[in-house]
Amino acid sequence: MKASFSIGPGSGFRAAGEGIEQRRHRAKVEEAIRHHLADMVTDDKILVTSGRRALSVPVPEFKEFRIRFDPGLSESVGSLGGVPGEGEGGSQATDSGKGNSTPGGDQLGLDIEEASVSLEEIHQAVFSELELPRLDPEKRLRGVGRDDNPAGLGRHGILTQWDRARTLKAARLRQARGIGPQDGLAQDDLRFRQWEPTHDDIGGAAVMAMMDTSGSMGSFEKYLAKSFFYWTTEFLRQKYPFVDLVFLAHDVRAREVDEESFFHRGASGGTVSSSVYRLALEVVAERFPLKHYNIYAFHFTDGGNLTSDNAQAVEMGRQLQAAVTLFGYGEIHDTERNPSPLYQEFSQMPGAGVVILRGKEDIFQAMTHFFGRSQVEHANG
Amino acid sequence: MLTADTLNRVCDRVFSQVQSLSLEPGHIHFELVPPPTIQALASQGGLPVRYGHWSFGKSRQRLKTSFDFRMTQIYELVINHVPTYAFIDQTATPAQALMMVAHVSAHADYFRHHRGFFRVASDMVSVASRHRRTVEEYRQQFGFYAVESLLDAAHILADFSGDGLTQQSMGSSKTDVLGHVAKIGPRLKDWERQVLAMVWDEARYFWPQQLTRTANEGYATFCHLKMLHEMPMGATESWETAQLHASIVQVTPPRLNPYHLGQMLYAQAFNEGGWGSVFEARDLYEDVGLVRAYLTDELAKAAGLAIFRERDVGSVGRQASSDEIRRQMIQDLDHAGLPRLAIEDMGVELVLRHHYDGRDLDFAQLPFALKSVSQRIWKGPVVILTARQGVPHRVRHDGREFSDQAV
Repeated sequence: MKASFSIGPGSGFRAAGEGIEQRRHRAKVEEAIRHHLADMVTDDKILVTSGRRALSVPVPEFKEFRIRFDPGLSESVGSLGGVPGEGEGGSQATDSGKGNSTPGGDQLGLDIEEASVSLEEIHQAVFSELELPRLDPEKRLRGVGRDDNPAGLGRHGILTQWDRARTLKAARLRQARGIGPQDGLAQDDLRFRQWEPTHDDIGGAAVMAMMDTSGSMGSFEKYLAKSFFYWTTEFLRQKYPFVDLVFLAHDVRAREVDEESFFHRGASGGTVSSSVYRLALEVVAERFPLKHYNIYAFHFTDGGNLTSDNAQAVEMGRQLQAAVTLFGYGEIHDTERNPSPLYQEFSQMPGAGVVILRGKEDIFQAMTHFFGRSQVEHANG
Repeated sequence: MLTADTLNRVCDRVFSQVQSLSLEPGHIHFELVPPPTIQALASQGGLPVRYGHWSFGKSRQRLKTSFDFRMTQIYELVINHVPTYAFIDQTATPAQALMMVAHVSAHADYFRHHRGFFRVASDMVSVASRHRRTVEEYRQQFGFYAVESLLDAAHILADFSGDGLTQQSMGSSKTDVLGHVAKIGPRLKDWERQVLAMVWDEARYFWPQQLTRTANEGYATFCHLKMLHEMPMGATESWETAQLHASIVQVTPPRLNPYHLGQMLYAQAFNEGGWGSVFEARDLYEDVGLVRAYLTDELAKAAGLAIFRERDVGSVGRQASSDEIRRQMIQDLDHAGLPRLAIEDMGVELVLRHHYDGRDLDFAQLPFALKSVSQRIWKGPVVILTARQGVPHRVRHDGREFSDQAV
């Protein structure tokens, strides 16, 4: 018999769960994600996902390198698609064939694979290399530290907390009432200071996020600055739950704004950087004494500071640098041009970190520059 | 959802056509499986069980993604084996199954008759599952990285495994780079030789299929169309099969659709000499031969063939004379579209000569490919003598550095 058939149950060939093939492929994808994090940090997809906990990230395809012909150099035969009169019986042309690829047709031509990763995973991988530099452990984190408040007097306690004046007063009162021995102290006269431990609500870290919102900050510059601050705040909130964030926006004048408007406000006006430094100094002086706080101040601008303000800005910057743990100055250039006078001044200044952002990929560099383990040298300790 | 009973009835109808066309597919064993299983099977290049390698996981992921977005659906999968194994998507409708069973029978007939398959192992399914077990043992024994990197490198050389089809002939010709190295590569451990020999086995099994991609699919498409034309059918069945057929032969410019082109070539054979010519073409011609014999000027025009510089969607084709198209197409299909390499010398360096025909090698991936072969298989410098834009070049990788010199 030249033709026969049989039909099996199909059960012997059920696709078992994940085999070694997929496990290894997945492992390679995850490895690639870790390697590509620097690029992903600026991916708009991540920036806009508030609330979503998992997202698809494009991972470049894993190429299997082979010895093949160069596809770009040589010509080959292809099809122009439907031509009238083709096919059996001279039927009319099929549709132009645009759109979906054919079922069972040629290869898919996908170059990108999508991998699903959770936001936590990305944060973890991005932030694992980062930390607040020069975090002074003496300035403890808020909520972790304890303080002792005087809570009154007691009749028992340790000798170091013996309150002599109150003991004497108690003794005199008792003697005046004519109770007990009239000379010397009775056991009941002893007074000891008592303390109650409380959580202190000062101390910790504070970040001054200063951004130039002048008219010269184009959407690209703002995008980079916001990306940097977005990742910075995410990073701080992950690793340091009690970080105070202060958002200062400035053009010719500086204002303290809330987070929402900081990230979404429009831009206009000129640039007077000294104004924002002065405001930051005021905020620091009022609310964040350096004795209790590690303070990080970052200023992002396009470098187009008003020329007449430069001298004052440098001076105020110097003061601010002295008043905080770390002062970071970032300049965003989308084109090649020389750094501004402010950049040059601050790069000479000990204790200040300076960085230039030219493209999306520089954001991660900037973060590593500012927060990388022992990357930034700064004084002020 | 297709049941075994329905499929049984479908097979009965198709097999009466198979016999009246005097096709000889031998015994076909069908399995009804869900789409994920077909994807898993297809991701391994057409063997139900194969050694584990991440690239199969990659293609499975791709197939799954494109199925999830309904860009492609694999309805059937045929395995060249005695008996022929055929996997049918159980979500297909009975009418679609009608076409698929017809298509599958024609594939089986092709495997039994085309001369290229005569000496191919007919028990590859069990051979390959033995390979899987052995590779799994090696993985346990020598670590996954050692095995994986070896397979990565072996896959590069698998494209150059000569003309022999039986194990006895492994490494007997100069063009069998993989076989040669597996046999006498000086710094290979025994288990590594074993793995290379397994990859060689499977490469040889797939080789005739690579040479007859257009011919095989074209023959199956041509035959299923003939069978469906002859078969008594209801209106729904006619509509559904016509729809499925149309989607199979749909062309996405500038890609060639082997189903479409192949079917046209066999139709040309049929027009010239009836079933006698069709069967002769089936028995004798690989893709290249089929094009040489039946790509007429009219057919080239009707198929909308043109010459393209790039394969991207949206690129503009250049109208060319039929002779030029024929010549170009034969070059594209020759040797399954792979460069021809032959061993020149096996001393300290493994020297391979590229038979240069005017087409440059892809220098973007060449260094990586050579590095892998050098580090993992030859364990010494690997050299390719080739040319770039007609100028002889000597390309070398010693595992650390790549060099490319004009000679």
